[in-house]
Amino acid sequence: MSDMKSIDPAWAWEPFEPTVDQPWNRSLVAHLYRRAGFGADLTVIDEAVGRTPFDVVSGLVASNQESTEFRSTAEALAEATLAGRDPAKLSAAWAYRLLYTPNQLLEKMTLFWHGHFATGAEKVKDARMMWNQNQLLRDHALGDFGDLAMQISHDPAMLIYLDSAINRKAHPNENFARELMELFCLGEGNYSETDVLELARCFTGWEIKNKKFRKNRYQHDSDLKTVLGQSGNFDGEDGVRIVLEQASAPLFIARKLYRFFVSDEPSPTDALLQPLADLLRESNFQVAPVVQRILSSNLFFSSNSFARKIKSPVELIIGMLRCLKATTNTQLVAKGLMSIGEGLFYPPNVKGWDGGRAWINSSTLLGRANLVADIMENEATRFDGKSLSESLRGQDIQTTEQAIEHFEHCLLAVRLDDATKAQLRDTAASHSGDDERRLRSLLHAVTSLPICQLC
Amino acid sequence: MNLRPRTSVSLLSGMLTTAFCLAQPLDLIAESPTKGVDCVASELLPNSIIACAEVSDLGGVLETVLNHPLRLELQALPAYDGFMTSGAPGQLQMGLRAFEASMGKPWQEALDTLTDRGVTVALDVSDGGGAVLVHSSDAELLERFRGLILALRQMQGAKTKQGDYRGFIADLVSDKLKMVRMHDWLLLTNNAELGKRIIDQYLDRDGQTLASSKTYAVASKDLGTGDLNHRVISAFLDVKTVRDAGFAKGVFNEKIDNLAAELALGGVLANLRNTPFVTGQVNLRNEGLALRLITPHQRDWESPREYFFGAPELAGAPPLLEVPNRLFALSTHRDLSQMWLRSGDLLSDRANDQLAVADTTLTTFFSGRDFGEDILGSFAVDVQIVGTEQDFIDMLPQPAIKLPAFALQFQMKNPEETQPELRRVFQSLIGFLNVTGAQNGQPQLDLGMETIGKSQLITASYVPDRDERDRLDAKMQFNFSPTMAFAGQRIIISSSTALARQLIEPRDGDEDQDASDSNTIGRLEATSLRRILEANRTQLVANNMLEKGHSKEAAENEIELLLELLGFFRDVRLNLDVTDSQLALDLAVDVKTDAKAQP
Repeated sequence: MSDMKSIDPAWAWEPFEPTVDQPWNRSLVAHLYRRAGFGADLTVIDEAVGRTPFDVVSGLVASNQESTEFRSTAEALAEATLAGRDPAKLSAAWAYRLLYTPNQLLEKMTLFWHGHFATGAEKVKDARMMWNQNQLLRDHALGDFGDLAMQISHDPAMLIYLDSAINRKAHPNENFARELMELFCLGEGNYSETDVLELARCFTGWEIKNKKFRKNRYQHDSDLKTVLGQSGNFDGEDGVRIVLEQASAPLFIARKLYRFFVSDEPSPTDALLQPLADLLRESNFQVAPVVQRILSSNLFFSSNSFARKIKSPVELIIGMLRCLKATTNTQLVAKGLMSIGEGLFYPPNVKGWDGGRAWINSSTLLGRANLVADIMENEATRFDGKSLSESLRGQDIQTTEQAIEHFEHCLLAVRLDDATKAQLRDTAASHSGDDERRLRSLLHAVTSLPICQLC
Repeated sequence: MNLRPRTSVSLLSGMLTTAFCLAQPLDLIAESPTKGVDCVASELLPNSIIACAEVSDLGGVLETVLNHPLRLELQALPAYDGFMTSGAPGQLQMGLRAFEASMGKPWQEALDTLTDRGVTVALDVSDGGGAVLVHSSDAELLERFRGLILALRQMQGAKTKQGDYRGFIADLVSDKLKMVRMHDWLLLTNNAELGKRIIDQYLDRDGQTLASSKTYAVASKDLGTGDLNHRVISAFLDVKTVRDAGFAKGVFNEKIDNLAAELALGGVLANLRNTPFVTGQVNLRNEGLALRLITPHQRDWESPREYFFGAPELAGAPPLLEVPNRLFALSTHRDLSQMWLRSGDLLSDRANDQLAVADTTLTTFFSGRDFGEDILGSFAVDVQIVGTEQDFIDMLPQPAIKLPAFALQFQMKNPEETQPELRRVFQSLIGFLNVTGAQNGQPQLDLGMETIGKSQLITASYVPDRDERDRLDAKMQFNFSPTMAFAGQRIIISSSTALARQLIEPRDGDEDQDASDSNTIGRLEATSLRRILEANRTQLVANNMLEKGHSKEAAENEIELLLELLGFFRDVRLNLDVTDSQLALDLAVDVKTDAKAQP
């Protein structure tokens, strides 16, 4: 494991320039698409190899708004799903969006903010509120974090989730105030219990009535408050502003973005993250420039990042489908994701998903394999509109060896060793079913490999 | 360079060559006509057969389907063009050309000749033993067909495996399936012992056969009745043997767990626990397909089911309720009070425990009056259910998912006594729903009362939130406006006020409608079903996208095809007829013979 202290921050965030030793090739492009999105098929990867890293990353970041056509289809799908009023059905609509979106980075960032501003439908229970929050996250996914934090503090789903739907001056609710500092903006150790109490007073009078946010001026505590060293007759908006003004805020966000895009562990030093934090502050909390800096950096394309993350269930399943141009029953996918720990709209608690090694245990590893098996067995699963065997034949892949190599290129962050390849060949050879069954079984075997859980 | 035709021709010629090599000259095999030549399938099948079905005129079926008036309509569908431009028809055409070339005549004619003396599918009581017997007037054509099958198998890379039994060659045509040609018969079976017994019977004609079984002989008489001109399938199931062998135990359980299943099918299930056999007939005409299942019946087989069949005489269902834009209607004879009171004889202990809890709750709800005896007992034995398409035009808010309305109609034995009681209960129920709904953030119901002529309606309608009054995607609740109506002796419990209003109005011809002889009658109208699905097209498309991972365009095309295909259907009809000796279930699917002429 490399020593994070030895990494020069200046070098780390310099734009990556391909060299003879580290050329811009399929492997690097696939790494970029796996992290900036959920993965890409070989056609997209080969097209990106023909461009510079800077152009490819810029294109991904610039694609920060959905096309009208796609947004209208996705919204129509969500609206139709909302007619049933069941939040669980919304998971399938989002899974569909993840699978089809042409704006992968935007959707990946929406998922990031969903984990950051974690809100669970299990408690909120209202599908439309959950969907409105999801749209809010998407609209600000690569935009102004300050604005997003402000909007989320008015969000009915969030306030219901944090028991802050009623916040009276006689009994200020500390939940939202505490999480705003601890989980959303500053992190532990950067505020005191007094700050929590004082900030909670700022939010008094904020409540949800008829599923809408409103300020009840009769219940607002209009006395003097002292929050994080500043004193005044503050309201909730002032409270959010004061929190964002803290020096620790950009570093906290930079650390979370680092962990999401670069590596689960080891933990980066403050010095390594400081350039990113500075950029956030200089750009008034604009997220896109920081994400672009990370994704085009030397560190991102170095061994400190390559295969240094464990795929989340969404990354594993949506990634497998997208890399093979596959489509399937997204209700099955949504239900399966829930069973292996990443139910969309159902984060485990207000901290969101822990990620990293927490994704994997003996139960979820088996669950991952079972979910892939379920998808392989589902009759709705098609590969580029065809069966897997037809799809592979269309790409001139005829033999088991070629199929293994294809799956390796499409799905894996690191190359397979000879022993594993031999094991996969044996798996394929031992399958007595038809060609389609054999290839699906081979794909299942590849996606179940421990190495395939790395991103 | 287009390789496809060349490939097809070479494939075809290869298949033909192989087929002719594999087909054996008729004079080289045990070919001399024997005792089995002129018999029917039931005389070859052993008496251990528990189920069999005979397609008597496959050629006629093909002719009806291929020359159906709807064929042009089907071909005009965009989906048909899509299918034709896909690769599938090419493969089908190639297969048909190979078949025609092997048979030496057009495929339809060849298939007609191959099967002109019937195709019989039979299931033996032994483990999964099954047989298909194809009887043809042209033994040489049958031999060519055999050759074609073997050629196809060889082309798939399978090795030829043959066996011999009493001079007949048995070819292995799949992992488990064997094929034997016996002069003008072709036998396919997955069970060697069953095959041998059929061949023995073919040669010796001295064993116990299905035809010699007394049960089958009685069943054959049933099969000899009805519309023989349009009969395409005749089937027989030896229910007693199935029962004795322990198959489908759930169906033959003395008591069932499900009250609704008992209510709908209790009499039929009671019959199946006693009847020796069931026969089935499928008739095909241009107008549609009809299935008739007949079974012997005796009233003393299951005495607790008087609630189902009528007491003391067999009783019929009331007429179907007629309303505009009807989706479905079901009328039946059921004595609900008797069923409730006799539930101890009819249902399992578990179901009875649940029923006892429900009985206590309902008795409390009905102010201490016994639910089974006093409440259900106040209704006559006629049960009428109807469902209709709802009209949401000029109505706000409109629900996002548009459901049909449905209603139940009973006859009250003593309206003066029952009406006030039920009205009060209905009002209490609405109050109860409002309290529980309010706890869950659901919209509230507003009670109302209407008098139309001598009829009275107690209505309840959901009140939308102030800012949701104009919504076109309101909650599902806005499909419902629960209503109870009283019109003379009739009580109507409806999911919508509009439907209740329609039902209290006397309609032309209502007085002319007598109760039918059938125990249960039902009808499902395809036109209304199509309109309801059409009104929910957005939801159907969304569901298709999520379930199949289709793009929006592909999902829209699939739903469009579903709706177009539904447009070819007229209705589905159901009749359950009971006599002192027979129980018959008729199910008919009617199609429009001229789809464009229909609304």
